[in-house]
Amino acid sequence: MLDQILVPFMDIQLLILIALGTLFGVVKGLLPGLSVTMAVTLLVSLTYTWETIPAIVTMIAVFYGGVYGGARSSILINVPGSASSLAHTFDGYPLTKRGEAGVAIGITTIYAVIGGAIGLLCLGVAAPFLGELALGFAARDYFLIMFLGLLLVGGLSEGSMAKAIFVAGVGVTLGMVGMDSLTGVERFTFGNLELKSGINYIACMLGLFGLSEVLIQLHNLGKTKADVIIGKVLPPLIYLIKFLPLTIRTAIIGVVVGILPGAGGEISSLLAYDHAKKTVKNPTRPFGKGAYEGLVAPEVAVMSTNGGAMIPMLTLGIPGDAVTAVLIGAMTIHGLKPGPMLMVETPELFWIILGAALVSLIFIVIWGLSAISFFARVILIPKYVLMPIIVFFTVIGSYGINNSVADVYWMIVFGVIGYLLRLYKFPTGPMVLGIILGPQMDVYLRRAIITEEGSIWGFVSSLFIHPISLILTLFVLFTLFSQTALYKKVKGQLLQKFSKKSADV
Amino acid sequence: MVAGKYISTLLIVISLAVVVLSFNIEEQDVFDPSSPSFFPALVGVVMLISALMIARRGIQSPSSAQEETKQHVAVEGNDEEEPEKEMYEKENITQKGINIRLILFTALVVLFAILMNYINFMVLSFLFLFGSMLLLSREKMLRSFIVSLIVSVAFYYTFVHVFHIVFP
Repeated sequence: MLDQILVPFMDIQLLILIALGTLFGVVKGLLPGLSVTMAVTLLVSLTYTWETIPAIVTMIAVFYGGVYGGARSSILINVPGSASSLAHTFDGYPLTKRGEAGVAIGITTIYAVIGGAIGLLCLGVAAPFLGELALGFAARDYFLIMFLGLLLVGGLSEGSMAKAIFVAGVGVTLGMVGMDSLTGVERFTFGNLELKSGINYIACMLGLFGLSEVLIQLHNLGKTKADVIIGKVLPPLIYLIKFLPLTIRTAIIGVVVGILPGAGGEISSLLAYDHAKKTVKNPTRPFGKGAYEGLVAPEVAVMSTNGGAMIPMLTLGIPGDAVTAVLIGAMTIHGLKPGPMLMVETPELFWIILGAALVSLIFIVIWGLSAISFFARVILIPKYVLMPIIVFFTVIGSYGINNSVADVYWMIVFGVIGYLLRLYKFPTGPMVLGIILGPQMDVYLRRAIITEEGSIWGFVSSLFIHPISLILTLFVLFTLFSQTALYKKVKGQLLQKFSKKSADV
Repeated sequence: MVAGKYISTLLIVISLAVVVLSFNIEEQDVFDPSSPSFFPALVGVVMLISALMIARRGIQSPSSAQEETKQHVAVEGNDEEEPEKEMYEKENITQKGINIRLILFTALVVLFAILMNYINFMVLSFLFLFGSMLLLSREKMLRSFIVSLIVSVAFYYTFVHVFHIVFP
């Protein structure tokens, strides 16, 4: 195990790839509006011809670097570099206004590494156990977990759940275009030969996350009004001890949210910030005015979410968030099958991934604490230069996977669809999960029904008979119930009663 | 709200299309839960229910949705803090100007894709980058020219030699 974790530390080629991958992630992360998902998707396409380990390791480095880099633009220009760094603007930008941008960056760098390491520790400890447990999962359990993932991403994403479920449904339908893997029957192909092999989801994602974002950015091409004083970088060491309890609590929030299928850093960071606001009695400054705790909490949570999200990805083959959904696709392209058998057949890959993430954390410190002024200038690249370059990458990325111009057309179509979805406040994340999970959900559902001799009632009753299925079914039912007016009413009444009682005391 | 009505109708039509297409999957009984048409039909029905719920609540117009998000962010950040000043300079452009820019830019991307089979990729990428930078900046021609040239040449060789992409 230790030998395999050390592989990325010892192999010079992997070290260079992780260093460059992390740097690419950091630079991309600090450019507002460009998601980590898009960067990793681009790499899936570009590293298609590479060997498996260098390709996967590079993507992991971009994943970690990108999630970390997102905080930088939140701090310096008050614009989140990614959805997961919205909470960093609350106290990060006030610190910049006080001339403490350097300290803010120093804090996020140090706590990114601590949070990331805690997440990886949880991954290393939990994944082997869960992997063994997952060997006993039946087809219906996989169906339930995936269904739960789609529901959660719907319930937790911005906008209404109905919008998210609709978008997820579109994704599931798109994922089913082509030949059915169980029977070979064509679905939604309209007799078209190209559609027989399905829609290339890499092209689809590059459109949804790349081109659509560029089109949104074209609404305003105004320059960034940043005039940043970096100041000193490292915070006083005493804070490391002072923030330790908060660090542990928010890391747990991050890991738990990461494990939940479909929920990622954008949720854990806000939950952690809210938790810090409620539990820290004497912050360094009031929250919202440059409290260090207001940066520590979301950063630890976001980075520990990465490790948490990789737990269901590597043990069950179920994505914890949009980026891990792309990583699952990447592993499949390279002939691997993420899921319980991954741990049995290629355990070395699991430990190498963990080692690569650790090395990436080291490079986060190196890149994060050096050349801060240079990175601050990268944010100021004018949009009229940046946007065409991003589109250029999305075109190459969509072309590169099959060397096919048809995929570029798909990318453009999904770019326009993604733009319209964003314009009308529909979340795009559920569509990606739908495309990847849809075909698998279909297969698992039918397998589960076939096991019950084709009886739908037999399938339904099996959900309540087997203990694992029962727990998952209860989770699904609770998630559905939590969206009803009745639940919200009861919850509101309970909260009112509780606050009255505490006021009386 | 008129746009909202159109979109709600579109969502319902899409959902119905998924249901109808599921019924039309060759030689399959949609009511047989183990057939390949069962799950697509089920998804179509769920989409239809969601579309009806969305239609009932009404779709926000893009502008009101954006304003709501800004307010939401301000509330999340700090209740007492005054809203932060916008960090991007407000560009002096009308909605019509934005629409024209979006259409022209998308047209350039489509043109880029169409011409990929006919023009040398390095030359084409330079023309795309230079053209789109000019479209978006309308001035700064020299800077756009230099950046486009460097990016197209540097990335062409990177993609060919590092990522082994075979261009048409």
